[in-house]
Amino acid sequence: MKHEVIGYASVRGALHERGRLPNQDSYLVKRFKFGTLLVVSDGMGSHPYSDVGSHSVCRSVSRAIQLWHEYHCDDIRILIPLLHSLWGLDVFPLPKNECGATCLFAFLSDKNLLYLGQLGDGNIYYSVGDELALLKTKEDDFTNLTTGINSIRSFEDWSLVTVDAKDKSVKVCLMTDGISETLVESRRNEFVNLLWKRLSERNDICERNNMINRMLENWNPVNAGDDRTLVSYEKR
Amino acid sequence: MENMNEFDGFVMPKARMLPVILLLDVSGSMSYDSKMDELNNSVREMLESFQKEQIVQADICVSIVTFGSEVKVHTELMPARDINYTDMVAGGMTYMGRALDVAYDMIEDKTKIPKNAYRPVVVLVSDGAPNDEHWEDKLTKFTTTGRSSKCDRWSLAIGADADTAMLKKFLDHPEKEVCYVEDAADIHKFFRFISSCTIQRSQSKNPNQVAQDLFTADILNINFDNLR
Repeated sequence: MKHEVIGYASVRGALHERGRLPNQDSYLVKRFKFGTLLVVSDGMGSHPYSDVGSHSVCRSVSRAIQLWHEYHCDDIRILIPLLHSLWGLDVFPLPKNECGATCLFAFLSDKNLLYLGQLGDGNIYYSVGDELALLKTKEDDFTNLTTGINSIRSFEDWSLVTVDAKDKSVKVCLMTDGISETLVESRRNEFVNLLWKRLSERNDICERNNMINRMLENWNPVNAGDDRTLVSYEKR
Repeated sequence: MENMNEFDGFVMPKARMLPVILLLDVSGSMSYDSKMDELNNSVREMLESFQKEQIVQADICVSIVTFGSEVKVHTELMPARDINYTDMVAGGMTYMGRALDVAYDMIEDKTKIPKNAYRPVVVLVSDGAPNDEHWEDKLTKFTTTGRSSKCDRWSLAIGADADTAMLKKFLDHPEKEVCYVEDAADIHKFFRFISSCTIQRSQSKNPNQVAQDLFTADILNINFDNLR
């Protein structure tokens, strides 16, 4: 019998608190009959409706996954144009370039296929069996352009992976760049492994969410300017 | 069960660096018309404004490279709050090409400017024209290759003898213009603009992003209260 361990939390960054701005990150955890979906989205700070955009990303991934499933698709690449269209409809009549947001998602189907997608900053760590992997490493120094769902140049901007987990355990951790960019580079894997370990020690989702929330609230103040959102998942 | 403090060691103890590199002409001509005095006062004022800022998202670090007949790192790259500024002294030729090489190497060096640093601001100030060999090649290398090509670059021309065409090539965006001051007394306005832009970036959610509306700002007549 499968056993899922889920935990999530999101806290507002100090700069947004100071500027009386909302938390521009959004997240979604949803169980369908055909699988479990996790989404994290980071609204772009310079866009006036980035909080709307990030909420909309979560709704749009959820809708896209349902349609994709209804049409019996299994190619993750087909999901992406669908998601972009649904997001454009969802933010309408607001201009897309005022609602910019990143998109990180993980979907584990009832057939134990793990689908991962990332557009823009943040990190997705995953483990199938024992090996820990990072979906996308940051390529460029000093980049001025934050890729978001509003500003895609080609579908190559997406990082997409499908893994057949078979009967192996699956762990996934999605985080916005308020977390990923402020972790000590050499200790990031250790951080994720410890987090999974600590979450698995708790049986109750409220306790797990409280634990993540406390951790994010107690983030080092010199690196706590940005909103911070984390969603963790484990299936044994 | 977990001890919440056990996660503390995974978060970087310092804010990410936002480097500001000043490439300043200290050739002999800078000693006339109070240019050197005004430049010293302006840099000092800039450092004081950085020192007052609370570190939340980015830690502003400054390095000053001077070029006359000698090119030297007047101030090693370090947090602005730790800098004890000593006045620069003018004298000699304008060996700007060598200064660009020094800055290029500094920006490329990941032990000095780590991978997670924010996009550096590089400021070039001159009242004349470079007169060392191959400066054109060095300028091209600086602006088109490596990490320096991705920096946020600004330039200031002081007086009619400044090579504004060269300073224009230094900029990183076609919409940017060289800031020109006829009177040395206006040098501080340019530095106030750079300070304000940098502080604004350091306090923003994405300090890598440079507000494009500033590219066409009337730098010498800007209302700094609105900018902040």
